[in-house]
Amino acid sequence: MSTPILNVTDLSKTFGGLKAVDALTFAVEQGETLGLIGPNGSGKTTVLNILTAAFPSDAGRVTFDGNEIAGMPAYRVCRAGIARTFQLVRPLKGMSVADNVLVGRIYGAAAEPIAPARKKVRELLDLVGLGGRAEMPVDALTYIDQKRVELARALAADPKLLLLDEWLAGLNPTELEAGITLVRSLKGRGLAIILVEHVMHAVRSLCDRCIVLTAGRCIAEGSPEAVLTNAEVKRAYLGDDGA
Amino acid sequence: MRAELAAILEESRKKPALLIGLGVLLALAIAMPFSVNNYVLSFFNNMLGFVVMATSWMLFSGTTKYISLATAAFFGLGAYLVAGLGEFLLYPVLIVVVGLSGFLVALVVGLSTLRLSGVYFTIFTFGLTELVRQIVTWYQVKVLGSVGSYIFIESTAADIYWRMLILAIVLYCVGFLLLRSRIGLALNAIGADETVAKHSGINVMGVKLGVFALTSVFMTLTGAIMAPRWTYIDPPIAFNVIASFEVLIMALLGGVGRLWGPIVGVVPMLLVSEYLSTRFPNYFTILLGLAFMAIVYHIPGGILGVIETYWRKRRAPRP
Amino acid sequence: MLLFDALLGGLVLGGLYALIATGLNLQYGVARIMNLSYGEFVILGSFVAYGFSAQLEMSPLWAFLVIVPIGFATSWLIYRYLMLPLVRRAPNLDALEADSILATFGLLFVMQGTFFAVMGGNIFGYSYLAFPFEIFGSKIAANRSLAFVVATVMALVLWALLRYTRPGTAIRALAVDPVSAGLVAIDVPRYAALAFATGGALVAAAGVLVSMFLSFTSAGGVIFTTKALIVVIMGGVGNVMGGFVAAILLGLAESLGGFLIDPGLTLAINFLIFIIVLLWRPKGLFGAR
Repeated sequence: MSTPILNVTDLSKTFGGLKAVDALTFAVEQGETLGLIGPNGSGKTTVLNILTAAFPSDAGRVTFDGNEIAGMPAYRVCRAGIARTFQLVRPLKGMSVADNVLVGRIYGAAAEPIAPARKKVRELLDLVGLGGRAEMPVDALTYIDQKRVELARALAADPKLLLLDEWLAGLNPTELEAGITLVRSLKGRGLAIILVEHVMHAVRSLCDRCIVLTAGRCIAEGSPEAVLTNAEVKRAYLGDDGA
Repeated sequence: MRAELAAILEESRKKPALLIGLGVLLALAIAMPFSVNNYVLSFFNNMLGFVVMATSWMLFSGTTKYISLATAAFFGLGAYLVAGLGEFLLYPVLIVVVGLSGFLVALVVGLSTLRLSGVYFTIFTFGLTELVRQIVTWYQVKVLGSVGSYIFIESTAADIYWRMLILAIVLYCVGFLLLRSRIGLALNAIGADETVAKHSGINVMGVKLGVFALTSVFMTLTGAIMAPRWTYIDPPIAFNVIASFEVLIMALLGGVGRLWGPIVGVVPMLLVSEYLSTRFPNYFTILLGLAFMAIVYHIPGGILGVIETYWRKRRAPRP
Repeated sequence: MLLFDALLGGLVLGGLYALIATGLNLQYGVARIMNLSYGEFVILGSFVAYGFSAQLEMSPLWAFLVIVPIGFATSWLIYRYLMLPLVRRAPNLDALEADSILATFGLLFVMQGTFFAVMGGNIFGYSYLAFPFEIFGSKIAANRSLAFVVATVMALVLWALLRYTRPGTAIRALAVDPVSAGLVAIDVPRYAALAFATGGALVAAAGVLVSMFLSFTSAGGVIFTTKALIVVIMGGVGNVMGGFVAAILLGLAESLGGFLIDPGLTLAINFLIFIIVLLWRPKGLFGAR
């Protein structure tokens, strides 16, 4: 077994009196796709926000690629190799599609000069299926296409770990299949992924392993099939009656 | 940066007409003081001053959306440093000292407010002109015993013109390179969504602080170069809040986010204010305020914004 | 005893700043409008009081009868016809903030220009109850004491209105979250306008009180706006009690600083405290958000 790329130990975060994340411990292997699932408000996005230093944790250690990243500013976490998308899509409005992705390329872990970066941006836009729309203002794209831009922006950074926060939510069945294929193609590149997702079909077909959160605690861990048939998980999602 | 320069050189080699045009324009600009009277020259000095200040404002506030209302504070600081130190220092040394002072003041302001949301920065800069003015007045009363200073540097209107021209050219070169470089991209990203910017690897605080301080240097130097227009200055002349306002109007009128925006705004605005201030001196501020509000409500994208929308509509194929 | 005089003076000044800042809190904390023309209403109130006292030779307190309705109506009109269009066109709160800053910055110059055109650029002041008054063995001008008492009464009335009336409750809900407030059937634009207008009436009334013991000029509004903004930020946006504490702190610092260091540096002292608070607690002394 190789050394994990990300190690999270005893992570905790409290908002007011509410424990959003409660002594959470998990690891992500190199090239692994980890599903982070659980009902709304179970602390999934909070975990992602702590990992990317959007806000600090109250306790716990996070090591990434052998380095402690707690206390680093957000931009250094990104340069260290963790890139993310946002739950509610956040394109850089007023800028072109290509420039949106270019930002990720020249400031992320890739840190490439502008001229070669532009070439790479074209490739990435082709990859996510926006090849012909590089010079359009990003505001003019549909919601789904803005999600593609965001994925390209995250990939442009050359991350070792990619955090997808409900990236597949809100897609229609055709788009969903295309999205799953796209994410699957990323797995082939040795990229580790944490997938926060409610679309169970996507979780089943993409994740190597899943952990299930309720109230900030891990209640189950294992393969998607095993986890999704687990009685406690069903109870967490559907309430006591449903199980 | 070197790759950028090479790219620009390469590009300009392909456009000899543009290069020649710029050269001719420059030669005309340099020769201008020999062929006009002092009234016209003074107008041009005024214009260059506002072009530099409005462009500096645009480079930081226009891109990042952190609205600075402190242009007059930096202008006044520069003017006062020249009044206070002009007799003791060689001109080049003086300019360096003035530039550094502007840089340091901007660093202090930036370090304490730029890490917070934009509104804190705006509030701070709103009071900054009054603050610097109060400190200068206090210093003069306590230490020197009198408010107001004589300026001992003798400069003709033409001297001021050439110095301002150099400053403007330097600013345009800096601005041009800045906006094309990775920093320019970062500035626009910060203006669009600061959270995304920092999660994309941009050192948001560093970029904001650096560019704010850099552009403040140009505002401070404008004050220093323009100061010899007056032989005597007192705080109300040097720290004129209306000047901050005029700079803001010009930048918005031209169009924010584009290097050429401010210059498009400065010329019409200056002509209009020249007319209004002689025709209706008592109502000048009111008219200025109304004009500004009209811009904010009706052409938030400025003149260039209007032109761009028009072109986009014309070029877009109709369904 | 001079130090005690300075403390007492600072307390009185702080009380008035608290009143001025409370009005701004209603405008910025509730209606979400950053109003840079705010201090111009202080000057408007001062001019009306000056009119009553120096021109009509009546008590400046009569000015309340005129200025409170004027302050309320003008601010309501400003919100309804100048700010609401900006609220409607803004895609998010940041954009609204930028737009309202710009628009009210223009308004500041319109108002200031009007003052200059009508009243000119002199320093104005009048004498009212200008005799000393002894309290705890320390002397304080009667006009200052009266201003303080009236300001306290106004603050208490406002507090009671916010606490115990239906519109008051709606306004407090708005301060917490305008979106949720809309969901529980609160007419958001209407109550935002009410809060904005109440803020305007309050600050104009404060202008009357301030003019009883401070001289003023047509250009003086900017200083009041700056101080009110500093108080609101220091106290935590939307937090009226925090604003009170911050205002007293600022009044004391200003008065003590003027006494111990130099009266010409009051604004510098304010800014110094502002910077320290911002570096120490970026969301204000009592800021929750």
